[in-house]
Amino acid sequence: MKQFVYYILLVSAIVFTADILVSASLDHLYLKTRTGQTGGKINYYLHLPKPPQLLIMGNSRAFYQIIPDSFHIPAFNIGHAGTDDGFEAALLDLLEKEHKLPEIILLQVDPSFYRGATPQDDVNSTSVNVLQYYYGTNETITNYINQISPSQRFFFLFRSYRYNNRLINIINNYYKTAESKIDNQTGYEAIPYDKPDSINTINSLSKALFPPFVFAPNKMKYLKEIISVCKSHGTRLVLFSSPNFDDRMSAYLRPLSQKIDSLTRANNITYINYLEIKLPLITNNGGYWKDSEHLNHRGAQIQSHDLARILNQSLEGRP
Amino acid sequence: MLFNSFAFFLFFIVNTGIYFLVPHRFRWGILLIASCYFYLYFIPVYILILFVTIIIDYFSGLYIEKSSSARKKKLLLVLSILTNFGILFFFKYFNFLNENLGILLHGIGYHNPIPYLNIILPIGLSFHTFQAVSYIVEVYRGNQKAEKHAGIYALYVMFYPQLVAGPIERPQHMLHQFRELPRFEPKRAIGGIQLMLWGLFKKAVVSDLLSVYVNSIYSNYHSNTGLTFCVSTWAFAFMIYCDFSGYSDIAVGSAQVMGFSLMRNFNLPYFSKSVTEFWRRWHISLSSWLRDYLYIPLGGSRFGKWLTYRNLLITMLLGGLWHGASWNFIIWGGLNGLYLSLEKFLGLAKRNKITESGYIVRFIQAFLTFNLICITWIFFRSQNFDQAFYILSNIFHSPKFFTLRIQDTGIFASMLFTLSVMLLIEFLILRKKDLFYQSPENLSILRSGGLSAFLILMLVLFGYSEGGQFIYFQF
Repeated sequence: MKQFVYYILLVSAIVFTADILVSASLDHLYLKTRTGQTGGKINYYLHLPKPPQLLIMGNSRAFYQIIPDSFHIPAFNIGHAGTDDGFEAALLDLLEKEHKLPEIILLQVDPSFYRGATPQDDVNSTSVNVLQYYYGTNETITNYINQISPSQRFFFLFRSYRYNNRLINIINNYYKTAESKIDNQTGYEAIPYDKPDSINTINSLSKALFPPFVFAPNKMKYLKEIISVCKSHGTRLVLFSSPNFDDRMSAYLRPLSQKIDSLTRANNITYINYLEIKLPLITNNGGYWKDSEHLNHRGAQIQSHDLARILNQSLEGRP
Repeated sequence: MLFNSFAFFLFFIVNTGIYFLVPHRFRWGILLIASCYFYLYFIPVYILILFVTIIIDYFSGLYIEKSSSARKKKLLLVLSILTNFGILFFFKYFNFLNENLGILLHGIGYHNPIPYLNIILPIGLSFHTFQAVSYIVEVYRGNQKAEKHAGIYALYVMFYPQLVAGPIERPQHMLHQFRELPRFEPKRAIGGIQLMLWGLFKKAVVSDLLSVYVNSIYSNYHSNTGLTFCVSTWAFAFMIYCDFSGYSDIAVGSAQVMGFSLMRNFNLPYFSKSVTEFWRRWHISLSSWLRDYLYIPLGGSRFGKWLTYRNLLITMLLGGLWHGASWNFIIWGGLNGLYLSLEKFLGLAKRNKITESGYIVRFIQAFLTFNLICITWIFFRSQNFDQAFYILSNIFHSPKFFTLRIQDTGIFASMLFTLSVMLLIEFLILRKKDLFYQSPENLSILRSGGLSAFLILMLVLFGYSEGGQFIYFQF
């Protein structure tokens, strides 16, 4: 038994010491990153002397599709691929706590996020994990992460766990930051035109699936939280949904975009819905698409200009 | 309950603690209750199927032993095997056969009147069915005494570390262990914990990382070409290995902590220098089961070379079918059978021939064997024939072969890094520096502590905390 206790103590001591050393080293690297999707872009934004007037938020359909330079006001795209409303709500809370809220937020919302098998369905966003560096220091982020599963509290006993599955990205982003000039970033990343992508987009029409769903109102909890934070700080919130290559997908998701529309009307918020607004150039034209849901840079230019035009009208109070 | 879940972590600590605290005579009961609880985590009602087969096999075993008539013994054996395989057939193969019958009838202008059954395969059914059949056959052959204690027999089938995905144990190896119920041995327990961590590292770090890449390529196979398919198939080969051998190591390790010894299910299979050697090192408990209860009863290699090839093919085809009710698995098994027969035919699988060859030749042999196995994995991973043939044709005939698609460079780099760590450790094991399967006497606490701490840190930095289900659970 003595040997077993000795083994447990030995393992605990090594893990405890190594955990402190590794996390301290990674903290050092992480805080110096100013680029990338593992926190570097957020660091860049938080270190701006003054937040830009317009902040574009959302997932890959904002990150790769909305070009900040298209707007007539200073703008930054803080979109992160693979995220959802939960991440946006947590990020907004972080910006609020850091006093970095902009004047206007242009938030991309995916109607498909509100799909459910039953109306009672709920969701605990896992994409909040992108912000796991702030676990333990930001209450909202900590709560959101704890809601993912009870085991999270245990895993975060290890300080290094804040870098779980992002160690190599952070090292890479650290060197990118050190080597390149990262000033004047816009946060946007272009997807270049690629012919095979266009062909695959067109081919995807035959493979599209439209399983039945119902609207799950509980899944709107994060969006309601975002609206509430913006209202309480006087930040103007504008929502938009990105277009789909396949018109059938837009029609399929219409009942959900209508629910977003109802929510925004009730809260006096502008909602720019590209499931309804047609952009003739990109409609049914594979050359503007990376896949059936993502525009390439050529398509992004068209959507961004149109979005800037509508936003401008909205800001000027025109219909 | 999944081995890579936090629930299992708590369950294991609590159960092992209680197991060693209660008096010796109650321990089998604690293990049986724990095993029931473990199984109830999946689809609770299916535990009734287990109970039915346990009761039938338990009494069959007793009556086979008691009976003096050879005819009656055989009848009981057949009854028991039919019950076990009947249940397996119903849940696993009925819809597959019905679907193929429908296609056949449609081809000659008839409608198939038999409805499709909306049923879910009970978890681990193929594994515990084979283990139960092993018991009844060994009792029939007189190699094992029938177990009188119903609880101990139930534990033989339901022992939770190996209940849902093996290793498929033999009664001679397990039943006496449940009677002896060994005491806590610190060094054995340390070895067990270390093995569990190694298994968890393979599953939650290497396999789950590889699966992100493999799934992104195989799910969008129309968008990819030659080299991408090669790399993703190599990645799948390691993904399935780390997934299944990881599971097996956790199973063997958790049993070892409690003082039990389960058979080693994998022995560095990708270092094999022939397909024959690969099958001696891959899923050892299944391949030895197939050898003992199918290949040898079919005649093995006793009746000339052509019948040997036939027996190999039948064994591997059925081995493929064991994995799943799909033509893809049958082709996978058939290809392996073909390789084994060809190696026998060409005399390539002789052990001394391989060990005599030089280092470079052995490396080339291992590389070729790995790639031959990878071709079979394409059928294993693909959803259907179209996908498998599309991928195969793109590997061997692709105008843009050297285009490698990497969707997330961070994940790809992590994947390469963790895979390298895993291979390095395996290489050390191959060089006789056995880190995980050493006997308790040779175990160095300092080295074990360092290795365990390293594995824990790797899990913290690279592990998927809410990782996916083990692939072999579906079989």
